[in-house]
Amino acid sequence: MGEGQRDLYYTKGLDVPDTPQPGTSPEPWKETRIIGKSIPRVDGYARVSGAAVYPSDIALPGMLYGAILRCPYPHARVRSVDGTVARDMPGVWAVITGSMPEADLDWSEGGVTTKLFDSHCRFEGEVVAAVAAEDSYQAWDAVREIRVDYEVLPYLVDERKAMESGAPKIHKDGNLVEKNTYARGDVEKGFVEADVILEEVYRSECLIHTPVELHGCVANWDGDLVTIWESTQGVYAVQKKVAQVLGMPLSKVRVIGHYLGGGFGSKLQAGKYTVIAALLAKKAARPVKLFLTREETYLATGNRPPSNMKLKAGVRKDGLLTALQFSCSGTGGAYPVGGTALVDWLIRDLYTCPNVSSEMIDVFTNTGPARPFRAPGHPQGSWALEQMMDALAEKIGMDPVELRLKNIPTYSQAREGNPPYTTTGLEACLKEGEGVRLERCPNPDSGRERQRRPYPKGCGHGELSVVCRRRWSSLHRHRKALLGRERQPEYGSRRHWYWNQNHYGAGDRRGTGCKARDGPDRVCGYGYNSVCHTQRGQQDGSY
Amino acid sequence: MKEKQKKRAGLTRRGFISTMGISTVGLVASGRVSAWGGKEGVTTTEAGDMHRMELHVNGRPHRLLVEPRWSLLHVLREKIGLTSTKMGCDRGECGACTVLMDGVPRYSCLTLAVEAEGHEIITLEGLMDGERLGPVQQSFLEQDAYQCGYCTPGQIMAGEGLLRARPDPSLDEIQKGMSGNLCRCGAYRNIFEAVKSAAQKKKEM
Repeated sequence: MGEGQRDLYYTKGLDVPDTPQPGTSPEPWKETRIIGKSIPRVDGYARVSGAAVYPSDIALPGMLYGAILRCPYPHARVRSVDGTVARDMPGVWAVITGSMPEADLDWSEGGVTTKLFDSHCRFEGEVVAAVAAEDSYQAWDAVREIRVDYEVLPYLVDERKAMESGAPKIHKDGNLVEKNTYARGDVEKGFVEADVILEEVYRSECLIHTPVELHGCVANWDGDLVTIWESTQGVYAVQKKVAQVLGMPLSKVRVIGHYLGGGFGSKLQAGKYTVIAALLAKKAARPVKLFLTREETYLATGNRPPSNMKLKAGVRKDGLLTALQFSCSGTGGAYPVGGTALVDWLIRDLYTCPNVSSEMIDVFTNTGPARPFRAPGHPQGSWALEQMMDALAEKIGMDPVELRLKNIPTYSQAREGNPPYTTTGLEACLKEGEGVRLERCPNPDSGRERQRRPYPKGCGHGELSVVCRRRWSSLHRHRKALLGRERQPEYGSRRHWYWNQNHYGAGDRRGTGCKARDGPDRVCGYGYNSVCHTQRGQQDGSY
Repeated sequence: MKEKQKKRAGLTRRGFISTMGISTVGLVASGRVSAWGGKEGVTTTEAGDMHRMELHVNGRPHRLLVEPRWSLLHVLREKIGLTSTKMGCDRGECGACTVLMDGVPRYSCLTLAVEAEGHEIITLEGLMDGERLGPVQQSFLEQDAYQCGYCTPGQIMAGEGLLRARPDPSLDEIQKGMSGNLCRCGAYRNIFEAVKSAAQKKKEM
């Protein structure tokens, strides 16, 4: 490459050393322009200037606006849908209902196949019909004029009552999705060896992702090719699902998602709205923008489901865990989408323990389907496990950090073949957390001087496993303060990697990296794609 | 088509109160929304009836035909094409749709387009000088005060409005001034830093 070219593209006049010969080490650069420096994000200008075109900002010539009629009951059967009035309303170009042949499509979720517009509505917010009109206001006018005859059925929304006799049946085979068990070693023997045994019950409540950009897409047909601008974390997942449901080859489905206004796991896959937008666009022969309302996203686009956990743990006086016995019941809602998936993973694998057993019962309820939310199952599992570790440490009179440091595994205990970890970073995390200073920060709730209390600063964000000297419960109390005041990482620093998980939700155009425990040298997904299609972290299989 | 419209109007009867007339607009702007009902000069229109209006956005007049029920957000995004103003909740909770109305931050999703007639609206695009970022935008960029960037236009407008009212705010004032805007990614700390550094930048200008 000529000198001029090099200057133009890479170095802007800096003296760049040549590639070293094999076996020799180059002298370190005395000055770097990028590494170790705080620089604006590559897409920063677009985002702060308003030039970034999010999927919800797409405007195509002749574009129509879609709206979906959703079932207002948690459990109902649709007897009939009458869209004739809606079809004749001003500005309305297309109305689709489940009885139309073009909308009679199969929809698979978690191994259960139903219809796209299923006459058996198993949760409040299930789709019943859809409209495309020239204006979103007109579309909603038309939706309100669709007449539906429902047979309202008894419903079940509390997963703790799903297995009671007489509970309403959500699917024809009953309410049990599956029962998963795991065991290694001998838990009973482990409890005999323990000096201290504790047993606690933990519950986590349902949470909703609430990314600020609503779920939705713009669909446009060009002959037999459909292009979809989708607010998504996974363009390939959307492409696959749309192709599958519409019975099209992958090559005829193009999904674009340059920017994403947050997803946090709820936008990892296509929703029914994606296919509905494509159907409406086909029927109206015009592009259709279909973005849900905030209320609809709460009902139908995913949540982190509740879980009921019981953990019994045994520990020796010297701090070694001898047994962990875990049971959990939870729900993925009306469809088998992993209500208890991976809730026990941290119990199985995070700390060294020879005797572990877990039992997880997943049930159906008349609620919206679950979605991964900042690592499926992990926040719930660590809610139980870390509180238990603190309680055990207190019981045996040991520092909670020391107890954890004593139980760091060097290999994966729960994966097949027990592969060794190249690096885990857990020790570094713990020690960094231990060194966290308690600084005096103002309480954001009050802002008054006299209520200023110390908060641990610089640790804890979102769902990361917060490990520091403060008790979990107190961290939970102060979560507002933490969320409002967390320290953003310097790019390129180790902390950056610890925190990079955030960007999975953000879907930005930078690379996305690894998880807290992986450390800087375990990048499991890095790219400069226009869409970050993230790979699963190999070590803990989470997002 | 005309026949269709008539049929529809007969079926729905979704009457809508429009706020035409200078006195009504004045009342709405001062926040006394309850002054609407039963006053003289208030007319009832059907959904679909268009109203001719002029909207001043970013220093330019826009002549528009709007339905009186359309929100300012809808008109800005879908009719004028200024898509930096985002829709997050459409109910005045998230602040992603914040614009400046006569220099004061305002949720455009809770503002009817007809209410905004006669007022000076500024959106994020209006803070730019050609391709150059305004001081608040520049500070947001430098302080990395965003992650997904979707709430950012609203945050920047709220920051701009705050600094116009209080050129040198304390941290408490910044927190209060920005409290109408939610950031789900959790970039609050950097947002506060950005507003602080923007205050400095504005002083130096």
